[in-house]
Amino acid sequence: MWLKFAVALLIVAVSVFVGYLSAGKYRLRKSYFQAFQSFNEKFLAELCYTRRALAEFIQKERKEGDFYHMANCALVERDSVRKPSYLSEDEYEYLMEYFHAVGRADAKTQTGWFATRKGELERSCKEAEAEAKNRGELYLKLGLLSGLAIVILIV
Amino acid sequence: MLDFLPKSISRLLIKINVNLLYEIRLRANKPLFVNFEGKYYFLGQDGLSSAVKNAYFPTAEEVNDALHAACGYSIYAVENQIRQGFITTKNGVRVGICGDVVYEGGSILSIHSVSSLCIRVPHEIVGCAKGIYDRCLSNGLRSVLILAPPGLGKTTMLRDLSRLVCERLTKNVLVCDERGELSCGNVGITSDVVRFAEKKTAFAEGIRAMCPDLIVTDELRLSDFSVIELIREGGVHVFASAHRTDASSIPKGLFDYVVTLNALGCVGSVVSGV
Repeated sequence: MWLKFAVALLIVAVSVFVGYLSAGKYRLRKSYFQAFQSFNEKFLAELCYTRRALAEFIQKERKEGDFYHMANCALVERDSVRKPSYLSEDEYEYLMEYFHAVGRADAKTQTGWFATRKGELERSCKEAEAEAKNRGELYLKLGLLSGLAIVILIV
Repeated sequence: MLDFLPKSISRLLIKINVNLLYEIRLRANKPLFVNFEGKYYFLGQDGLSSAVKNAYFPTAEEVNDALHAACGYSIYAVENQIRQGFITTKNGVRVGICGDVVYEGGSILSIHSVSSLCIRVPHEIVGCAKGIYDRCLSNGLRSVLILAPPGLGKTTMLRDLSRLVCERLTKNVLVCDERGELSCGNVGITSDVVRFAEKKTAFAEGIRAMCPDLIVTDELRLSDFSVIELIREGGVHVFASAHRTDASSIPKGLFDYVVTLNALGCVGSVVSGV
């Protein structure tokens, strides 16, 4: 009896964990857009005040995560950036266009350009946060339900 | 130091001794021209040459890429320098820019369609100003003006003079480096450096903030001499340089010594009490 109960519990736990992992893509998207938005804000502040060269700015502001890794790759090492699986083709192109524009003009022009991106990034960030929340909950529930279904069928 | 150059040009530089390279002239679709040991040559796949047919021809894109890289890929960070027609890289390499100038409100807004770059490679030659030091400063601190046409080593001399004054006289030296070129190297253990500030601001604020015994600055223009006069009246000595071949246009009594260079790093004359 106890063994059956333990197996059932294990199956449910594993299926919930699988559900959690399945929602990982949406968590990564959320972190990516949050970092992107934060970078844009900091860069706008940089243009207004210290105006350090890009390499110095990125090294000082660098944090963990995909976005900063890609920013370092594209803007400091001047290397090509691989498309992460959680980004669509359009989002990847948007990022490449963004990186291409960074540092290309004087502070006034750059401020105008990046201020326009601010609204777009805020919207994308909110969408990614909502998606991560909704999908995260959905996948956990699906994991739980499928775990229970397996338990009923097998155990 | 020249890591901002496109690979196609960096590959050509491997063939020559970069330590003896003073200047690179990068012109879009024109032969690559370099100053090597004080003489101009074309540079191509086979190294230095006097024949234009052996030269490498950089494209407009390569010229623009070199400028963008020299700016640290951050035009916004050096826009004030660009407006003055040059930028100085983090290693002190001065890049003169030639292109289409855009004006707004009577002052330069930007330079675009860049067609030529004049890349001046700085050299730190420790001891090169020893001769000037011995002749002008052996009895204590004096004001010295170095005159020479461009490219004869005025900045290198000033840098070494500053280092010598710090080491031998242990005076407080303020280096006013408007172009970020003078302070790239050892300007002395008791020196303070103001970079990229206009001379007037740097002199006024620098004297108030740092109380120097000596101010070292590069490339004086005629309009700067009135400020130098005020500094001298305040009891602060000045080492400076100017793009001139004679002292006729220099106001009298401003400098204790006027040194003229007549060849690369060669002191021609030292005149006192001008």
